[in-house]
Amino acid sequence: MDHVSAELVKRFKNNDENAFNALLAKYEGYLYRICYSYTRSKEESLDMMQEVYIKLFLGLKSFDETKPILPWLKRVTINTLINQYKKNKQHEVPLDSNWSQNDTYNVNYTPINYLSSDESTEEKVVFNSTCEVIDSLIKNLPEHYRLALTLRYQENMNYHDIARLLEQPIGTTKSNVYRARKMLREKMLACELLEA
Amino acid sequence: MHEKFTELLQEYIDNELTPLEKMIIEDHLASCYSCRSELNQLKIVDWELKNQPLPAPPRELAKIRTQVVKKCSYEMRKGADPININKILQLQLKIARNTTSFIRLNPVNQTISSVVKKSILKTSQVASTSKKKRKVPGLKFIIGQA
Repeated sequence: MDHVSAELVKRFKNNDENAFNALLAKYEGYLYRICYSYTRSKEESLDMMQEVYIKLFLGLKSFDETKPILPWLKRVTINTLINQYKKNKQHEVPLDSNWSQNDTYNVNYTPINYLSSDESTEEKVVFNSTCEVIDSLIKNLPEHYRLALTLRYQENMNYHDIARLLEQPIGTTKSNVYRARKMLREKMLACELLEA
Repeated sequence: MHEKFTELLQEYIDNELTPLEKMIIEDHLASCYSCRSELNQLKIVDWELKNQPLPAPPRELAKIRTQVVKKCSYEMRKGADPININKILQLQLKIARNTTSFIRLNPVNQTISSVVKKSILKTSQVASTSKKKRKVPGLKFIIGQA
């Protein structure tokens, strides 16, 4: 761990709350992006970060300051994501309920139709950037696909590590990523972001 | 569409193919327009995922952190766990109640319990009658003795 972070952890262990604030101010942007890449929603990411902060606050007292802190922060955040995923899984809706396979080939399915169909009235905005469209397409992927994509692309993890973390066979992990990419491809084709 | 190549194309993108598989797929790609097109599209998807700009953290994030720190410190000073223990106990109680009510509602369990009840009643009835039968000669014996 870098000297400054180690010092902040020590200060926090001596009941200095400001040290926690200073430490997290350094890393929270990165942790927020991990949450966002999974939830694709500002509100949900903030809720998740609140939980992450509580866990970090409780765990930091027993953290060994000689070890690097970023992997630990990442692990706590990813575990929170996985817990959230497991919680949501209990109330799971049928696969691809937002976007059925047939919708992909619907002639009337323009990007704007699609994007506005799933949002509340306030959020019905005109998307004019490719990134925003893709962001919205990813948001509408099934949750287990999004989780796999987050770990694969945001965290640059290999399939073995993802499978171990999610406690699933490697074949399942691979097929989740493959299907997510395939589904994104179909959606991008439907939105005319890819040439047929 | 060449279904058997779909997974290979994905593995090709991830660079996870064996040299032999790579040779086979490249040989196929040289002559198949649809697979070549699919590969190009998947490569774009892969690129988009790798280079997706994620938003900067909102201002509220720091505010949330400060609030969490304040609340946790306050709870710590009070000597309690920041995660209220009462809430956890109440939640566990609720789960236990729901579980028992579910077990009660389960039709299979109801059938089993009614069968068990009936069998218990039967055995108790049988037991009571056999007791009575056994008592009768005893009484006669006592009466006879008297």
